Amino acid sequence: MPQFFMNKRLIILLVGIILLVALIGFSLRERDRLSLPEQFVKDTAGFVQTIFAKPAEYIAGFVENIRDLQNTYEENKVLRQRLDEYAKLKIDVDRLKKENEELKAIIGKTEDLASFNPTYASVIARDMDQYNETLTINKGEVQGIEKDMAVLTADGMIGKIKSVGKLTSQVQLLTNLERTNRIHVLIQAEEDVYGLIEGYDEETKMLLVTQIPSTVTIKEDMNVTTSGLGGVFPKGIPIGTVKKIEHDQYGLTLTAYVEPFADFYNIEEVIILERLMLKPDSDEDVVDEE
Amino acid sequence: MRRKWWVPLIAVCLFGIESIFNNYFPGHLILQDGIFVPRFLFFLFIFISIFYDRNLGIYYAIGFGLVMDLVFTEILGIYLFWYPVIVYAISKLMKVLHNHLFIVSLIFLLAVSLLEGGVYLFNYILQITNITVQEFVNNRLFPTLLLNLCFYIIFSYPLKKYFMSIKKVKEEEEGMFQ
Repeated sequence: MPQFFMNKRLIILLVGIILLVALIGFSLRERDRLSLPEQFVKDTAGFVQTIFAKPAEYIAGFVENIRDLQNTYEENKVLRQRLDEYAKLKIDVDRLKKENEELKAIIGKTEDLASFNPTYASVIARDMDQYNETLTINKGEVQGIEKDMAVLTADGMIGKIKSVGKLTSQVQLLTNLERTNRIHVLIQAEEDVYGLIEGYDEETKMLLVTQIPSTVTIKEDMNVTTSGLGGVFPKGIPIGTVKKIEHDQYGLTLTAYVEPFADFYNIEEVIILERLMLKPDSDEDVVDEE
Repeated sequence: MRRKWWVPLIAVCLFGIESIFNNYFPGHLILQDGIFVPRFLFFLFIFISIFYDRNLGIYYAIGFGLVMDLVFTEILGIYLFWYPVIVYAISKLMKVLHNHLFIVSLIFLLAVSLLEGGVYLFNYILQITNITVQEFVNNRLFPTLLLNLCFYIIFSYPLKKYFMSIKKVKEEEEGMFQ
């Protein structure tokens, strides 16, 4: 028996495995913020990543420009048709915005669920094995980023802030499977219908919106946005359109397959939205949301 | 400048390339649902341990494994464990094999498969992913092996030459003090 414990390699292996389990256990627990060494390593790595991300962005942009040139003619035709529509819409929107502001001024309300404060950031890294589905962006605590803020591209919502360093932060994409990745959404039917994003279907590349009451009528091509009722995100961030509706296994609720507006590949620039409306503070207040 | 100091520089460059690679590489155009995971740093560790200095390769593997875990997965221990363990096992294996580049290529593919399998195993146990073994092999393992083989074909010869040359310098220096 003594020889058994004298074997140096075996001891290293055993200690290594114990340390490994301890480390994994340590990092799996729910954390509100990262420890200082973690933030330091992340920011240092972020600096290196930025150096490589910039040229990569230029090259990718150049290739994209060339590809765009190929179908300029077709696009131009479609866009010209849209232009007339756009002018009319713009007038409408301006009028409604003004009206809305006036009405808000009358009742003395300055913030609502939809008001937000945007920050712009560039993507500097993406996790290379794609198990976690995260992005790293070049804005952090110093620039006012906080955990759980909504992240979107020009097309629509892509995820939320998972952790924040001093100068960089990590974005968790909607395609992530994690249990805590739930978002309360609104389907724009005749009357607003609420549901919960509960996952991502790898095969169809669509988000699953569950917990929709089976008494409501929803149709394909209806738009899905955030509801703002989850207490974390602002209201009205576009997410996608309904493509398919199914009953769940007990027939009590409906499940909608939602095609996201945003493309989860080739994300370069993102917008981070800070919700201005009061956020419920403690976790106990918020039961069924993000 | 002494050529020995290029090693950390190459490592940092590969880290930067690896971290931005997946955001731009059009993997889904080459293979539907295929996920091409770059393992360029891992390639460097294996080359260091085979052609230059075994212990240095393992130190690099531990260091960058820790950085990978901190920066990307936020779960300490996945790369911190698999990088050094596989580099160590490969360097043991190379003692009985000739370090010809063709043989090393097969060993490298074996190492990448082991790494992918190990990382998948951990992620599966920790319930970060729920893909089946079949999906893993088809969508992750084969595309990854293909990508890294391409990388190997391009960079193995210059890197081998480089490591051989700095190893010669190192051995001469050691010889001087004996």
